[in-house]
Amino acid sequence: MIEIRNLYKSFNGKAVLKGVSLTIEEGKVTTIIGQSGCGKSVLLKHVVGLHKPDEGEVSVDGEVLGDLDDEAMRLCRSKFSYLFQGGALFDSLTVWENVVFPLVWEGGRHHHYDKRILQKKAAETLELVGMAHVESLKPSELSGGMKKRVALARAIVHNPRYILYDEPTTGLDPVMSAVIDDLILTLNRELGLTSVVVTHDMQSVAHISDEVCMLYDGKIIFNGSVARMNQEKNPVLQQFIQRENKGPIQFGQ
Amino acid sequence: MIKKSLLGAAENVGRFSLFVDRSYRSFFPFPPFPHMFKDLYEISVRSLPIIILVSAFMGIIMSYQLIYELRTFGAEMYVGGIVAVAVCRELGPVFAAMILAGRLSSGIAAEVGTMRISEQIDALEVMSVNPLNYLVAPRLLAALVMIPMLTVFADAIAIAGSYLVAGKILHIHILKYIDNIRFYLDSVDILSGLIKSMAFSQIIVVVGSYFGYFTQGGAEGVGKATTNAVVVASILILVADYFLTALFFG
Repeated sequence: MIEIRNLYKSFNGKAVLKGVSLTIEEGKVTTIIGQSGCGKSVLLKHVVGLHKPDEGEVSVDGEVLGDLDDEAMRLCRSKFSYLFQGGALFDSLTVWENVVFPLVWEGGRHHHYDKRILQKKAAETLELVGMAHVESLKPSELSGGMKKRVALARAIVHNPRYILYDEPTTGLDPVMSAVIDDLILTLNRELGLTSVVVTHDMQSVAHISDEVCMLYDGKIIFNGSVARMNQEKNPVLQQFIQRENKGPIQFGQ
Repeated sequence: MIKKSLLGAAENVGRFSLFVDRSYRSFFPFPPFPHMFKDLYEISVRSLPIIILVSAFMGIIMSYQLIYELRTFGAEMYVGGIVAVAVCRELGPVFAAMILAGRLSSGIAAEVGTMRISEQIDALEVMSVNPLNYLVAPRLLAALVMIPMLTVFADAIAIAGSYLVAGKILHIHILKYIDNIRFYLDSVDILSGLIKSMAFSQIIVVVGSYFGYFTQGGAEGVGKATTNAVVVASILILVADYFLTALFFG
């Protein structure tokens, strides 16, 4: 279980998170929605310790990240995978080398494995995300959707417990978005991965979420199921999910 | 305004010092050799043509200038020794380092900077891989091995270039030319040059990596990081050269 308690974060004097508290339960798909630039990705990066909070804390399975030494942090991070917005595939490596990277560098140390075994593992994992026969290509030769699926293969290759998705369907066509949504659901339902998805794609939210949280003005203003979200009277939430340009959320806010 | 600039400069110096400290501490676990191979190749083979070209012209031009001046004193026969000492002590290591600062510091800053803005460095951290161990340590080691070797090569090419002119103008036999070099050139001249090039190699890599690692602001940020890396590496090479020269010959 991931617990975020009273998290504050500012960048250059601009407050982004103003006391965020949230509990992410094991085995569920939790989506975090909110306007672009409202701090969703910043919140997600706090969960894996990529950002350090100004105040408050994040705990994973009872361990507070701020209290962990390097070795404990390494162990904690090995429970996670993170799907970055642009995939964050390593340009200098081929697709198959990217996919098996978490295995080769498990625990932050380089391990020597038989190349054929690694290539086989990469091919199997790529097959799971519908990306067969691209093993020898470089990331620059892939389209945006393909990069995200390869990044997803890299994210699941070492069987993590938690998987964090940063806008997994942004910039993809509707069909590819549906494919990614199905993959997120499959990984959650069949492999039991706890998933946290940052998105503002409301169709995705409705399709994949067990829990939805809305981040607005640095705080969580809603936390509940999709059914509850649709019935909620909060005007900010309603404006956001109804895609309306008039309401409490002002353009440029 | 001045106070703000001074604070900014102090912050940069502090951050750079911490970065250098963390980079050298990241050497263990030792980077795997296949991972270093790309850097060894990039630093050596790919830098060789420009090193050959610049060193050859350096030797040729120096030789012309020296012969012209030394003739006034009837001392033009000493051109080989003077060129060899100047090249091995000073010009070889500094010229090679300046060229490599332009080639490698900028390349490293651009690559690491692009990795920063495309979240590849964050991806390494999430996978518990120390980005400095993965990106900086192999390059520091590769540069430490290859840049002194390139410097020896640059020295040899410059001396050969100088002979091309001296041999043609003064009609000196090559053995006499070599004999003159052996008479004036001491092992400390070569050794000091090699030690300098080792220090320069670390400046080239660490400055490029530093500016790349702290890149902000997209493609524009990468451009700035690249330019800053070359400028700062060149300045630090000259400053380090001053102190090392004072240490060896002061």
